[in-house]
Amino acid sequence: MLGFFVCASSACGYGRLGPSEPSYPRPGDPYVESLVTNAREQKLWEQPQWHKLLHYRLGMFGQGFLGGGYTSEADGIGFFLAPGGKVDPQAELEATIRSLFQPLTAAKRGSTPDPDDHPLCRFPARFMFLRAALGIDVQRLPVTRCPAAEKFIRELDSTSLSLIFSSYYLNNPASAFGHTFLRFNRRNTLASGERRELLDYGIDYSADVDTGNAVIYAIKGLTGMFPGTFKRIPYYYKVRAYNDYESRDLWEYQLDFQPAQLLMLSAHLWELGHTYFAYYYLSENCSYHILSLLEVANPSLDLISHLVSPVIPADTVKVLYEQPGLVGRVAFRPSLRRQFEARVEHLDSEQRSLVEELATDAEYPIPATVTHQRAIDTLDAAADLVDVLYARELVHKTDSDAAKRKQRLLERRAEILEPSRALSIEPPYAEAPEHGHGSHRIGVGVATADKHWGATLEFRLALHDLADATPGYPELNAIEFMRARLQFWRPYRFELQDASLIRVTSLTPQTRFDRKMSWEFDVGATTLEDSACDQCLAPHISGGAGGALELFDKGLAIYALARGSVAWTPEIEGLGDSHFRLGVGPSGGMRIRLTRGLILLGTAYWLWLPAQTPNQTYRIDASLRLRTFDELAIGLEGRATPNGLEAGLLAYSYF
Amino acid sequence: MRHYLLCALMLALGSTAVLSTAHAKDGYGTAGCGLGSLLFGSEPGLVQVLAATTNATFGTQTFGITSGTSNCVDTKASAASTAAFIQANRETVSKEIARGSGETIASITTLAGCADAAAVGSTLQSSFIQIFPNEQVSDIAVSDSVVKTLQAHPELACHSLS
Repeated sequence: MLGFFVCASSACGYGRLGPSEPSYPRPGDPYVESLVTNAREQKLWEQPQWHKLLHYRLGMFGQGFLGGGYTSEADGIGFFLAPGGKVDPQAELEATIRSLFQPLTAAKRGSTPDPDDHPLCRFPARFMFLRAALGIDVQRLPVTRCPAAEKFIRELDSTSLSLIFSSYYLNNPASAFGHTFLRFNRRNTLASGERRELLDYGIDYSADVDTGNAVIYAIKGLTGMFPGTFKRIPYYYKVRAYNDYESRDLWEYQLDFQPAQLLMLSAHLWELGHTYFAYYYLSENCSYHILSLLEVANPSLDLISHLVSPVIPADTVKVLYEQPGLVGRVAFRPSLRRQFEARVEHLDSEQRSLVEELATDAEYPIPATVTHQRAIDTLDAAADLVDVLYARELVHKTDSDAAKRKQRLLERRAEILEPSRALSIEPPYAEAPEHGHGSHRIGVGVATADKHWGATLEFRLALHDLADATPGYPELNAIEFMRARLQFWRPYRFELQDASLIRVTSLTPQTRFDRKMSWEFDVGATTLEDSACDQCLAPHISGGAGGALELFDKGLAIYALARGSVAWTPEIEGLGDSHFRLGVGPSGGMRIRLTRGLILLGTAYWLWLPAQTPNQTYRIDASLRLRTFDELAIGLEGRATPNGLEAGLLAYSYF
Repeated sequence: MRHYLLCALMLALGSTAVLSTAHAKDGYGTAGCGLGSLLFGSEPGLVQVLAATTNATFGTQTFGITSGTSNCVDTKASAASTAAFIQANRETVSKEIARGSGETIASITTLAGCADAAAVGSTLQSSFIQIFPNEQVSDIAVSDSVVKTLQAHPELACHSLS
């Protein structure tokens, strides 16, 4: 049963497996060539649907250059039926038409021919497109069953599609900017109207990593040397991995697509399963290819052309909102950490003390005065806390103490033979990624230091710092990628004041339940503002770890870290006879969120430079930033270094 | 030229991946469908710790679109998919069985074809110590026990398990 993708309304033959009989048209046959002529008259290869199915992109030089200037992003040879198919939409289309009528032959001599090897079954979406455009007579096809393809497509049968965003996760570079994937919402609605979302299928695009070396991993990820492939993963794996293992929130955006469009997408996913794309972390990454799938389902969607490299997952969510009516219902799955915090909010102080004790001593007695319901709530919170603190150890079974503790807590809970009530958490809509300021930023302003005046120019490729307006981003995390601040002083001095390849600050406030560390990391170059040299530029690597505290729902946060820094420049007399400058010392800051768009931030560090001249240095930065209209902010900033004070006023534009 | 060599290498890697799943096709193997074994293969190395995210390291063979019919990907109602679900969700399933309710209990109810999630939750909760006698019991042993418990209670009417 070739089913849905051939037999839409007309009757079809069944099960004509086996070597093709002489009555079927071969390539070169007048019928097949008439289809090619028809395609040429329609210029079918210029249709958007054909371009989306083959993932053609217009090259730098545009049309009219070497075969129309298109190149397909797909990199697997087997994805193309014509020798030059990767760069020639017309040749690929005509080769596809002819391949549909290729006789079905066995892959190896003596074995049975497998219809799933036939081009028609390897490329069912292309076949659907061509059949509709050319009115192909299905009676004349050499193959009418595609068992594996049909099974795959049938299993994805859905009522709707959702795009899922998993939130920022700074603990590893691949997830620092978040992640997006798709979920096919199956037809499994119960009488009650509920759906079993965990049993839906997720479609994911990711790199297939083959190295154990961190440096090679970074280089290959940035230069497209890993193959990226599409995967089909039951949604429950994604929920466990993101919500629980990594404690990340999931935002679920239901999208408006028709059943026929979802069918085309499912068929196309089967086609993509046979190939791979070079994975470029900054451009053709997970989010980029997920959008390309949405364009296949509905070719009139124009999503990708709005993106600028680096493609940030949150930007791909914003692009959806630019299409009227595309995004429907938005749902939220809280991370395990957020679930725990919600449980604790409903506990009184006696219960909270019990949770704190139970997390380390699962036998800690619960007083007889505690009612069943309060005991249930206490034990449920304690079990969630153990899961949050020991997520990795429990999954990998590397910590038997944590496992024993969880086991005992669950045994005690199960002895109370009453079910727990469902936990309900109000989605924090202000944190949803589509509300974030633009991921790129430019700043211009004036500065003054030591009675001199100057102009400031700042640029940042991505993403967010602690003084930027909070909606759409985690409150206490900063991640900046490719940032530079230039000063032009009168008279006529130009200075690269500060530049970062990557700068991250991850603050996790300590609570009575969880003493997670806060840390920062910075790789870049900075102008040294002390007596070591006359404002020389020094590349540096710095990092620190420590703790943070918060009050007023993260409205007030302070942090203190122990920090080390290594810089190098030929213009200083560094450690020993080298040009290295090594320092250690405290660093810290305070952040006050006056409103979501008005932030006061102060940071400082002091470095002891042993056996160097000078033998200490420091820096203090302060900033008051106000978001004005949608994507504009004004900042009043000041800085103190051994060389003196500086102040400035800047206007920032996010885009 | 290097591009074509890279393609050839990828095809070769891809085909060996297909070959290895061919062996796993009959069952879900000794590693089961647990989250740990699928996230990292045998044991975590440095890059797995660095790329420790489902963005980059999920078992390509198990979840590849054309690479086979691993039971770990199946979400139709059956005993095999019920077992795969329990193994993958083991840490949450253990919590929710202790609680007698939850989304994984509801999903188990659907996969096993049972009539009522509340009844399933309550039965499993009262059988907690049989299903989880200690913290060392394996994911596969847990899924076996849950399935047996459901089968042993015909009043739950779990049709997909027979």
